[in-house]
Amino acid sequence: MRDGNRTRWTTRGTRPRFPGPAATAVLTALMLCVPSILSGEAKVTAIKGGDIYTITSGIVRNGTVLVKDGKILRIGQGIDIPKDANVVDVRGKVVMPGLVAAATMFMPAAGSGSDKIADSLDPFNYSLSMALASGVTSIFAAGRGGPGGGPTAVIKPTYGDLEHMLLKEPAAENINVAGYQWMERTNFILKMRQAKDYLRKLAEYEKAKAKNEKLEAPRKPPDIDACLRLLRREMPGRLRAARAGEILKALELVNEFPFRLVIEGGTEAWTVADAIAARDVAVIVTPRVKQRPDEDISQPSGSNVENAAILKRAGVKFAILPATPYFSTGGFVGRDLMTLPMDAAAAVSGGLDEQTALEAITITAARILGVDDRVGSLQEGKDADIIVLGGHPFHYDTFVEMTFVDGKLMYEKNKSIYFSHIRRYDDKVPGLPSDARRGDPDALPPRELQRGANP
Amino acid sequence: MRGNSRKMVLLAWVSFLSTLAWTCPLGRQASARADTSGTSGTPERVVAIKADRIDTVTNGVIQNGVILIRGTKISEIGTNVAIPGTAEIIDAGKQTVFPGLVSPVSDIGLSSAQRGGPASHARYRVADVLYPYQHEYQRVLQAGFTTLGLVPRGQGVAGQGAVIRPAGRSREEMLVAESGMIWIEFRADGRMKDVIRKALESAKNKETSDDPDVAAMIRALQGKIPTFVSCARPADTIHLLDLLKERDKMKLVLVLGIESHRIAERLVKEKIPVVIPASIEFELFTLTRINEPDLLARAGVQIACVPESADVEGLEDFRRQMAALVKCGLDGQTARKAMTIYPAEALGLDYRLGSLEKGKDANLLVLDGDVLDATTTIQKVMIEGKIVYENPWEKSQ
Amino acid sequence: MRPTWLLGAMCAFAWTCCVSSVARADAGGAATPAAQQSSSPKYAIKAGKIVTMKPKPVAGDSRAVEVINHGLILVSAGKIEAIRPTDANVPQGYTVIDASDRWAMPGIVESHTHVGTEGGFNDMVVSLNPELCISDCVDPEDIAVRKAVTGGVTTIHTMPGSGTNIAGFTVIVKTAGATPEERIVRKLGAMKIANAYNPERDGGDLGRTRMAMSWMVRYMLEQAREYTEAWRAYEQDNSRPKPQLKPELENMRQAFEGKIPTIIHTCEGWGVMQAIRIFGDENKLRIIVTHGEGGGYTIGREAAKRDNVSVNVGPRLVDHTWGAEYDGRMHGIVSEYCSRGVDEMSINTDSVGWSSYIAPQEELCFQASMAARLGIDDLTAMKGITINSARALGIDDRVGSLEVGKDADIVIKKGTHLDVASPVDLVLIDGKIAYQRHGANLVADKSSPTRQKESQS
Repeated sequence: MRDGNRTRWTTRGTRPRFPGPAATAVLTALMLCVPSILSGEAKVTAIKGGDIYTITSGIVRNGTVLVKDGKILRIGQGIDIPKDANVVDVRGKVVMPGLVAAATMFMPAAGSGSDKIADSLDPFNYSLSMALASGVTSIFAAGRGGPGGGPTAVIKPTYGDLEHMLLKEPAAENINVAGYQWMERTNFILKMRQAKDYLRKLAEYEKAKAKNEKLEAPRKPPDIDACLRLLRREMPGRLRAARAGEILKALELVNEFPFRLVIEGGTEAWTVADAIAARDVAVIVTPRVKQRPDEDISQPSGSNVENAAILKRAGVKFAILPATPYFSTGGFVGRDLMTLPMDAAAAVSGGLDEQTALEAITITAARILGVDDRVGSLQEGKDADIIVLGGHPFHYDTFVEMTFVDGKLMYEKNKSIYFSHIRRYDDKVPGLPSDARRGDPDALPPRELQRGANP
Repeated sequence: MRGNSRKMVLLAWVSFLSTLAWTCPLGRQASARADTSGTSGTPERVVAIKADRIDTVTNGVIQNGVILIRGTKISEIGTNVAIPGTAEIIDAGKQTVFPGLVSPVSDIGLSSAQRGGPASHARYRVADVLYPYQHEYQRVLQAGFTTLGLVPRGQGVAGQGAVIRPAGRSREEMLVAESGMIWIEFRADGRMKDVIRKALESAKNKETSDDPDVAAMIRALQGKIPTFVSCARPADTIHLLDLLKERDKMKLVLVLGIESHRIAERLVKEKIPVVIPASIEFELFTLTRINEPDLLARAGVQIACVPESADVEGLEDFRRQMAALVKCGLDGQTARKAMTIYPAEALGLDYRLGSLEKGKDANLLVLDGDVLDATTTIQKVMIEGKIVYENPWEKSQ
Repeated sequence: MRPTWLLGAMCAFAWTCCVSSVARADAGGAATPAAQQSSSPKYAIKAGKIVTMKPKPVAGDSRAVEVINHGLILVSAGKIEAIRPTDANVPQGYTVIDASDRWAMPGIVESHTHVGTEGGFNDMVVSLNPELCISDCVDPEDIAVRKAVTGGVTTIHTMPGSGTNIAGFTVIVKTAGATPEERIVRKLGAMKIANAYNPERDGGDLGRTRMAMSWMVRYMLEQAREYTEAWRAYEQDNSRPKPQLKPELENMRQAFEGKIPTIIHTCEGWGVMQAIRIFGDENKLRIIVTHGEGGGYTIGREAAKRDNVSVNVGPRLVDHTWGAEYDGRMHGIVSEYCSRGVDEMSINTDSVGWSSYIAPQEELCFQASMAARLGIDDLTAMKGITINSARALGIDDRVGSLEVGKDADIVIKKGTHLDVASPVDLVLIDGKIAYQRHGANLVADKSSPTRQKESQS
């Protein structure tokens, strides 16, 4: 193709971006050398000495996680470590499952509605190396949606490794009906009714077939496969709804069709929390979203940092996402997926308990994506997607120090170009005691979860 | 009847021989030129080139050597070569002789790429649309290229490329290989993969086919012609290699770009030769430069270099680009091979091209210095024993 | 420089503002009277930890501030009346605020924002607009300003710009208060300049190149300098000819007389250096270099060397894809300036409107948290949103630290400003409760100061 005055051989396309010279050298060296000191497949890896936040079974202090063949083998205090194990010393650190982003990581290469994300995964995309640096090890991805919604998947940031990148495909049906787009909504409802009707006829046919073999199977209407998956609850349906009215209209759909609904956005979910809780509906919220209240109505409206806390009280399951649901390099800090725990921390400032906040970026998000059998918590048998943090995840200072995906160490902060130069100033500046973060035992109530310091 | 059939046979022989004479234009022309008496004779031309330095590329540099050419081929090469009396002697003096450069992938002189989404039409051949009467080919020749691979652009299985010598006045004179390689442009997505899969399926376990698309794919699958696949990103390459897991006898050559060193290990393991532009790029967001060809070569990949840009200016600048790669770490000998023998191997034509060896085509350059020196000029270009270009300019120093 | 008809029109318009401008001009540099004393309640705040931001060198370390454990702050007449280091007796008539398990810190001071500027903050017909004052149209009831209080932001420096080279003059207001006039800390906050980037979006009909922008600004500054000189000479000796009053230069005179700073939006090394050179060196103005991203920190040492230069960073806090060093690293901008000797740095949000994508005003503390994350110590980060901002703006006689005699702008929460997981519980502005998080219930009745159990919301 002609590109200005020069004809290029290969289309430039989307240039993959990658970590930088130091990490490049590391990666190249690894590729050139005999594989792979990082493999850990035959050997056991022992991540030893940290405070292990399992998420689903409490905190194991000063514990060990044993990893083998990419899976978690055992977790506990004082467990036996095989002699030839690769021991990773994480004393003083926090060990957690890799974070789960229920975000929509847009996959540009996926074209028409029939394309599969698996066919266009780019394991050298720069977002993957940023995901590793941020401790996000499962990400929801969606292709460009056609009228029926596009392809969806959950991917792992296995940089350089295509084989292990896809965790699940498809992961959801995209329902592109916002509350006010009546044509799309009508079409959706009609199709769902057709599908529902078909299923009823199919069930009747199955019953009647036993008695009368000559009975003809009901004719399947065209283009209802996605609807069938929804009605059979094989896949959840994802739908964007922010305002209370939009949410209620989404719930109306669930009234008529019993599918698993996931509401993305849910800005005003706090105003209709009980209605949401009454149905099996999950929400993906952004605690720090800002939406002005509607001055024309008398009910509460607009955004509310207490959204997550209110949903929790009502019994609604939710995952948490930042306002910018991807990895950004524009220079703004703390507004995108690179600092996902900060959004969960914001929910805590709105009254949510820390445990639920942690779940919202791990196990609950995994459940919403349908991958909780494999990721989202530290349990025996689950994938060894593990992150080691320098302190409590909700502390603004805490960086991801190490990221393991499928048991392989894929990121180390002090060896990566991104943050290895960031040193915390010696915080023994007089006048602001270092217990600023650990809490002054005199002045403050004891804290359940400690906030540690970075080295 | 008998008498008639004998006449028929005689007629057939005469027409065959005269056709043979007509269809050996190079031989005709060569003899026409070499023979100063002007007779178009058939006796084999003998040329002897003497030079201070003969860089064979594959067998080292011969000092004060002689290359003896009979007809179109190198018949002998070395220091103690007997030169027959009838030989035309070209005394290159202190100059260097180097094999003619081989550029395996180019689209010079062809019309622009097909538009539209990925499709499979292996039957389209560059050889059928070759238009020899273009000034660009003369410039390509003067830049030192004695062999040029021409490819049809287009997404998917675009067609069959041709290999030409950029000299000659007719299609026949130019063509070295009418069906030089299958050219595929690949990008990882569902539609493209479907297209490739279908093309492969159609030719699998078949020996022949009436369908020209399928027939071409059969030859590719059986390794009778190389299959060149262009992939922009390392991700595309990985998807492609997974798709071609059972490629059997296919002779795969990958045409890659920036960041391909990330998959060097796999390329080495699967022994896939690579065609790569001779350019130094910046790593994104940084001021760090990457010498991609060097990184690949050091990993053990066999690289054939093409210019940064695929147009005539690119080819004219190619030696300087290769010299820049060497300045930035690429091994000098590897660079020379990447301009000659490795591209020839990628094209499957290394049995006759790419180095100065006995039995190979006499395609060579006479230079007034090292080929990788930017100040060096090409003094003479020879294709198959015939001088097709002589530099008219005399250097002042 | 400008077409005469336009100049005439502007003069006519400016004249109508002139009267009020002149009336305020002489008070432009001084603080307006603080909140009325008449209706101020009295409070006694029992705090577990008081971080005053008042300098108190410890063992030779001049960065240290005074921190008092288990202290008592007395508030009356809108000011801090006393800070007692022990659990002293609560005097009669003071309502107790029981924050004994919480921290008390100075109200956060925003040094660069655009909230509350209804009616537009970029007048982009001509490139130089020194006659425009945002104080004339600031809307303190804007949702962004109301929400700011919930994040502990008590004083904001809101401004026009940066669509043009001289956008006009800013205003400093409190984020809550009884009347709009009471809330104004200073009507002329600073002179707002943008020496490149945004104005290059064809902000004016002249001067699209940076050369032309520099020239126009220099020209304007020279006029203002001469104008200031002429008035100074006249004021010293009335026999000299009285200079003609020029409304568009009256405001600039405040800057040249050192009463207000000049804040300059700029980026990259060249831009920061130009700002320092033209405004700081040539015109001897007190300047605040703001933004300074894209590799501006490479000029850090030049800023550090000069007393009249202060650096204000934000909204971007990291240089990665746009920077000077292009080495793939995430360079924390504040940290890079600090390591080159720049101290007293302030941090901003550059907030506009109230949205999820641009840092909203109430998240100034979060900007400081992120700056700390990228390589500065907590104290520097906290100073960057309190005392350093106040000092850069020249309002540290009133705000920025908890000291006797200063405005009672106090934030109470569990933990520091920087802690993302704990909310602001109570905010006092000018000695009045501007915000209490529902469920916090810290304000007790005079008679029985029992602390109610806080509800876990």
